[in-house]
Amino acid sequence: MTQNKILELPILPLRNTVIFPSGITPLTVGRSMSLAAAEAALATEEKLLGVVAQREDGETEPTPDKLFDVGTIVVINRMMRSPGAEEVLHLIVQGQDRFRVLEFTQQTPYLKARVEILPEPVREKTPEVEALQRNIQVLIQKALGLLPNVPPEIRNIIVQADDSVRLAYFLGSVLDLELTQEQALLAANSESELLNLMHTYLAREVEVLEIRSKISNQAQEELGKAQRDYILREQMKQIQKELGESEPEQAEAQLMRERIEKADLPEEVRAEADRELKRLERLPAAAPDYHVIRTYLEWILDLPWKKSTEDSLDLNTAQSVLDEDHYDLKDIKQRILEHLAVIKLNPKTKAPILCFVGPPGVGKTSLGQSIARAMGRKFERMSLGGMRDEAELRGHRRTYIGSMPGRIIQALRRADVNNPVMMLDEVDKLGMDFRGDPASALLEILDPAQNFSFRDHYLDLPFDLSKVFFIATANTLSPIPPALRDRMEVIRLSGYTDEEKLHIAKRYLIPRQIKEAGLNEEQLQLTDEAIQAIISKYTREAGVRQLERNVGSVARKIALNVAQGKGEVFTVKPEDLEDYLGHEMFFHEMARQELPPGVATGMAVTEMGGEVLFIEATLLPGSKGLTLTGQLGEVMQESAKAALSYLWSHPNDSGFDCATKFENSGVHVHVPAGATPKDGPSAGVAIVSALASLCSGRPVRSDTAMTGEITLSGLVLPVGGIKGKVLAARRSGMKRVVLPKRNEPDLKDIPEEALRDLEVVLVERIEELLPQTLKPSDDLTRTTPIPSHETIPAGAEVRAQGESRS
Amino acid sequence: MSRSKRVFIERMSTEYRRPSGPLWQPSADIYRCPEGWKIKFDLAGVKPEDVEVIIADDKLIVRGVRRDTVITEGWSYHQLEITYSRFERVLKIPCDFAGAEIRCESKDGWFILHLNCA
Repeated sequence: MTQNKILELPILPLRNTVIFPSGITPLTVGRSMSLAAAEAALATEEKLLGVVAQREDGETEPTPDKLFDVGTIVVINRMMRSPGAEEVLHLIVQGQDRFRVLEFTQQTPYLKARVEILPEPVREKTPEVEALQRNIQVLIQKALGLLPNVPPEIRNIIVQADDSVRLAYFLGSVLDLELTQEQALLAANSESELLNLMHTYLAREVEVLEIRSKISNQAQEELGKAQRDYILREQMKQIQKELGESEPEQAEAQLMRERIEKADLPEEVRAEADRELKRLERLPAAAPDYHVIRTYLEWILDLPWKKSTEDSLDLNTAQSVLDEDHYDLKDIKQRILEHLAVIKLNPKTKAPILCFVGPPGVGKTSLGQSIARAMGRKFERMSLGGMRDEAELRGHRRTYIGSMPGRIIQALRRADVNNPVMMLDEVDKLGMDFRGDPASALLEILDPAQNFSFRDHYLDLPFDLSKVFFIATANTLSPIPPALRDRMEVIRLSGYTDEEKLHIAKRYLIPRQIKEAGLNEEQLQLTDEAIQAIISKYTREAGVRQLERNVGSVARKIALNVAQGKGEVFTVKPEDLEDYLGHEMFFHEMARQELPPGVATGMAVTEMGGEVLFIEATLLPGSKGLTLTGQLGEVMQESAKAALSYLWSHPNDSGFDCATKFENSGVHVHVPAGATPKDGPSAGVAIVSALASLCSGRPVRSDTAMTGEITLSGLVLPVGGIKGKVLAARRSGMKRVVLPKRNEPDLKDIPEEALRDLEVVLVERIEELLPQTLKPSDDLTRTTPIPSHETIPAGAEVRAQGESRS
Repeated sequence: MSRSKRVFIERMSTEYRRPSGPLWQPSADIYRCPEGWKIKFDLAGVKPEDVEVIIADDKLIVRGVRRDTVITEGWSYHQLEITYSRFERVLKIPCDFAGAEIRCESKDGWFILHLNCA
C-alpha cells in the first residue's frame, strides 16, 4: 500500500505541462539537470521519477522555489537515446501517483526530494458529486457534438469512462487548458473539488466551441449562397453556350466598347465612359446596376458632343427666308441678319439668347422656326409652360430609379447637333413652388458665361450649350424673374395693326387656308373689305390666330359649296360674311356722337391691343367725397383723386369754379365696362377732362380720345402703349387724339396711313389740355343720353398701361 | 521448478482497496482443466514474493512490482522497453472461490495460478 508513503525521488521539472496519474506522455529530455534526473531514475529498480511543472516557462535550471509543490510520480515505460544528437533522451512515461514535495534533499547534479505520496481523491457519493458528474457528461456530449473530428478512440474512452476521477484527469490532459488550471486539477484532493474545476473548464470550453461553430456556420451559410448563385450562373452560361447564344453581357459590353472607340468624345467624357464601361463588364446582366450603366453609356454615346451643322451664312438667302415666312417684324429680322453677319466675321461668337415678348398669335414660335431655316440650323422646341420641377430641365441624378437627363439634353439628343435653335416656349408660365424653381435652372442654361459647361444631373458631365441659339418666348415680361430677364435680349412683338393683319391674311393666311380646304386661288376670292370686316367684326386679338380660323371656316364653307356644285368661283364680300361666319361677334367701343358734360373718351391697351374707354363723372349734390366705381385699381383711383384735387386747387388754371361745386356735392366717377378690372395712371387726362367738363358744364369733344398721366402740379406725363391706343382710337372713328408731349417719339412706330386720318395734339400741361378737349362754352348744345352698350368682353383685363412708360 | 515463497491470498468481502494510480497490466492465459482453472501470467523478472493475489467477490486480482535487479552501479541505459514498477491485473473467473484451493507457481518466467474448484 502506498498511501502517504514517503519516498525520495529524482525530480524532473516540466515546462508548460502537467502529467496526470494514468496519463501516458512522451517526454523529450535535454536539459542537463533533467538528463541527470532521468538517468538516476533509470538506475533504480522501479524506474520511478517525480515530475513537477515549473511555474515559469523560461527557467532552464529551475530552483526548488520555481516549482509547484504537487507533482506526479511516473514510471518510465520506454527510453531511447536520440541516434544523432548526444544527450537527448526520449522517454515515454506513465503517471502513477500524485505527490507533495516535503523537502528537496539535493539540487545538483539533479533535483532530489523527499515526497509524500498523496492518495487518489476520495470517491464521494454525495448528490453534489452526482450532479456534477451528470453535468459533465452533458457538457461532454455537447462538446463532442461540436467537434466532428475527434478520433474514435478518444470518443470511446470518454463515453465509456466509468470513473469520473480518471475521466477528469483524462480531460485535463486532452483539453487545451492553462498550466495553472491543469495544476489546480492535479492538486485537487477531493472528487468534488476536482469535478467542480473540471465542470467550470468544460463549460467554458463548450461555450467557446459553440461560438466558434456559430461563426463558422454563418460563414459557411454566406459562402454557400454565393456559391449557389455562382454555380447557377455558370450553368446558365453553359446552357447559353450549348444553345449557341454568346454571353449577352459580354457581347453588349464589346459593342459598347466599339461604339466608344468610334465616337468622337471629349476627353473628360471619354474617361468617364471608359470607367463606366469597365464597371459594366464586371457586372452580370442580372445586376440592377447593369441596366443603369448601359442606359447611361447609351446617353453619352447618343449626344452630339462635337457634332454641329454648318450655318448658312448667305445674308440674302436668310433675308428672303425670313420674309417668306413673316410679314414685317423688321427689328427681329434685322437682329438675325446682324447675328449672321457676326458669325461670318467671327465664327467663334456665342449664340445670342433672345426673348420674344408679345401677345398670343403674333408668330413668336413660327418666327423661331424660320430663324432656324434661315440659318440652316435644326430647330428644337420645348414648352416650359407649367413646368415646376427644376429636375425636368436638369435631370435627376443617376441614383434615382428611372432617372433621365433633363429636357435640354433630351432636346439635344433629338436634334443630334450641338447648335440647334432651341425654343423655350412660354417662359413666363414657368411654375415655381416649394417643389422646385425651374427658372433658377434656366439662369445657368441661358448664361453665356456659364453654359459652355452645363452639367445635367444625370450625365454629370459638362456639355457645351454655348453654340445653342436659345430663343425664349413669353406673353408678358412681368412674371419672368429679373435675373432671368436680364440674361436675355428682349425683343417685343407688339400686336399687328389691322392693316398689317390684312397683309398677313392676304400673303399667308388665305393662301394657306385655301390650300387646306383643297381649293385653288381662283375658286375663292376675298375682297379686302371682307377681310377687314373679318378682322374687325369677327376677331379681337393682337395676333392672327382667330383671323386664320375664320378665314379657314369661310374657305371650308366655300369648299362645301364647290363640292355641292353650287358654283365654281366665289367672291366673298363683307355682306356675305353673315352667311359664312354668322352674326358679328365683336363691337368695338365706337365714338359716341355726342357726349354729355362729365363724360370723356380715354384710351387703354390690353393684351389684345388698344381700346377706347369712356370716363363718366357726375355730381352728387348733398353728399361728400369721391366715389369711384368700375373695378378701378389703386393707381387709377389715386389718379382720379389727383385729378379732383388739381381742379379743386387750381380754379384759375381751369377757368371755372370747381371748388364751390365740389364743396357742396360729392363726385362719382365710373369707368365702364364695370366688370372689367382696370388700372394704371394713363387715364389721368381723361378723368381730369371729364371732371372739368362736369363742373364747367361744357361737354368733352366727342371726336377726341386722350391718354396721359397727370400730376397735382398740372404736368402731363408720358405713358406707354401709344401705338395700340392710337390705332384703337382710329378704329373707333376718332378724329383727334390728345397725347403727352413727351410721347412724341412713339408716333414714329405708328403706320403712316393711320396717322393720316388723325389729328394728333401733344400737350405738356393740364392748362393746355382742357382747351383742346372741352367744347367751347358758347357751343352748349344739350345732348342725347349716353348710349350704354359696352363691348369690352368681361374678364379681359383692361390695363391703362402706365408701367412701361419710356 | 520454483515455488512462490509468499502468496498472499486475501479475502475481502465487499471492497478491495484500489491501488493508487493506474499500473501496467501483465498479459494472462487462462486454461480450463479437469481440476479447475490454470492461469498463466507473463511476469518475467518478477520475484514471487513481490506478487500479491487477492480474491474479492468474484474477481481475481494479481498485483505486484517488477524491479530491475540487473542494473548495477556504473551502468547506464541505452534503451529501455521493459516496464517496471507496479502492475495489476483483474480477472473474472466463474469459480466459487469460497471452496477453492489456490496455489501459485513461478516457472521459466511465468507466474502460474492453480485454481482447484468444482
